[in-house]
Amino acid sequence: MGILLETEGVAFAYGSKMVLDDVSIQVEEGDFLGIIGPNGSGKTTLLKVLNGVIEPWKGRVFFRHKLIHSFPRKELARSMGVVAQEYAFSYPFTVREIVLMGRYAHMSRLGFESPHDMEVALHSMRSTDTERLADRKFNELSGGERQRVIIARALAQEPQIILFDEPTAFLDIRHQIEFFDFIWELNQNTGVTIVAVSHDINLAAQYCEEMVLLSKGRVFRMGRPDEVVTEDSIFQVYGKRVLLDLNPLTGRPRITLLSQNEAFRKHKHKHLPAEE
Amino acid sequence: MIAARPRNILVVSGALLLLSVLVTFIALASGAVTIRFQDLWQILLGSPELSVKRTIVLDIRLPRVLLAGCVGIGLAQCGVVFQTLLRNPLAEPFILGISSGSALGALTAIVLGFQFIGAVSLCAFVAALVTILLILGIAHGRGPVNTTSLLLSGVILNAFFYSIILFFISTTSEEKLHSLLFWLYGDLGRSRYYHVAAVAPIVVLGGVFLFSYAKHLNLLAAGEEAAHHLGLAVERTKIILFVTVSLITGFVVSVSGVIGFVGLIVPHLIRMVLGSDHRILLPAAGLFGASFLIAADAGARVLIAPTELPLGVITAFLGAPFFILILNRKGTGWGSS
Repeated sequence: MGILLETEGVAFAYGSKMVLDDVSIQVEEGDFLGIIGPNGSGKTTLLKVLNGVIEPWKGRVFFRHKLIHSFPRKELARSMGVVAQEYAFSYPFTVREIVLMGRYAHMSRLGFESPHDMEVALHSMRSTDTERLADRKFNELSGGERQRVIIARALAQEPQIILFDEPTAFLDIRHQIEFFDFIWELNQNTGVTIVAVSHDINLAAQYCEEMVLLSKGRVFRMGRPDEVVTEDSIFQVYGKRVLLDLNPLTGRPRITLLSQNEAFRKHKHKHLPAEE
Repeated sequence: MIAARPRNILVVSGALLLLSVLVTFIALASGAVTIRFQDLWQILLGSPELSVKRTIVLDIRLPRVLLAGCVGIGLAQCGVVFQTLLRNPLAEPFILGISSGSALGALTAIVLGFQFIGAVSLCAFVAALVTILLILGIAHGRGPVNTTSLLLSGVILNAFFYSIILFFISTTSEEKLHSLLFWLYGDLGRSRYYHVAAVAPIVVLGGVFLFSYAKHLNLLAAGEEAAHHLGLAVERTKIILFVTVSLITGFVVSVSGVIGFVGLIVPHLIRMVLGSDHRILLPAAGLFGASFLIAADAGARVLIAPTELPLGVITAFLGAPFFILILNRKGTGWGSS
């Protein structure tokens, strides 16, 4: 398995505010990589650098060992899908129309969708359980349904890698777990490489094989979940003590948030955790 | 909602083309002098009799109806593209100030009394071009084309030009005032075949060109970032489309004056009935826009004949209630909910 996507000393700033600084990460083929970090640590910006939407000030981004900006957008879209945080359409489109947009990169300029394109779109809708929504308008769907439609569209691109930006931010716990189960299965069965930016350290630690912890635009730590999610690293990056133990089912690290309120701790904590 | 398959596009376009032919016949027959359909048929077949009516139909009404059709196609299609590019349902072909810019050109020609053939149109067109360059210059000055700064520069330019227009209006003589006002509210009364010859190729070729960007426009309607992810070279596409629709609008406005509302409501009407896929929306809006404007222009000639109304009066007067009716009848719900 080779390296699919890679950044080399990437730096980026909005105006004079440095958002990414000397970030070098590698994503191997078939990886399931989670990117975590506090608000404003540069997670979303890193994702945009990885998908080539923004060009870094310094450093380079390689996709399949070629500079990502040397790819025409259309060619890149045949290998890389992106599911952003939120989607709004200016005008009413049906779910089928939206999923078929994923075939744009595979179509000729004036061509219409071929039976094969229709087949791929249908298959994508089936695997995301959105086939029954095909003729509904996107704007009438619930948050969970919308996300599945956007995933179906990304799948219709038949990509090698899919990047997710905060995929569970607006979902309830049922949809959160369904989402992670779904992309885990996708990763296992079809070998699609997954990169997911997430706020949810616990979910990410259970599902991801590799993790990157960002702090103030820099890579704080990178490696297996048990290497990245430690009491110490969370304290240094988030500035808060957490209780860390292992999930008895998966053996992966699991954090519990701790109250900072002294009175609360005296009152509610059955036995105090080891003091710092 | 109709799926954008080649057969559906042909059927819808065919039906709407038939409608516009029908409307054309009715518009040729109606006016201060009503002409019976048999006579109209004879005249169109080239019968040398009925010389007076012949002149009315062939020299006065036909160029006017054809021009109305071209202007309708152009305004409706440009409206579709502006609404998608600016991601704003209130957008219309004149939103970037092209109307007031070219109005200023036309008014200059009228006030200074230029007499050569097509003087008003020519000045209007040159002024429209200058306006387009100004807007693109202002909005493109700082990096990639930003929709909000584009919209704002359009609004500001509009306000500036209108102040000059109002200055003209308040200082000009009575008889020139009439043609000034007609131009500002749309007027096809001066239509000649050379106007048609100038605008028809632009509108038709422009329409074909825009259709070749229909799938790109679908992606842009999904959001610029999503369009990027789906494989579109967003910046280049936006600039090409902005320049194209601005040019078409400039051509159209220079022969017709400022006809409001068509470019706003026709795209929405078609979207509500046929859906948002640009492969069906663009041709359907163009052809329906043609019928709508031909009918409205006939109305402008007939309603208080023999006096004529400015065309913009009719388009807004008929269009607004009709639009509200449709808006309330169908659960449209666009935008993010």
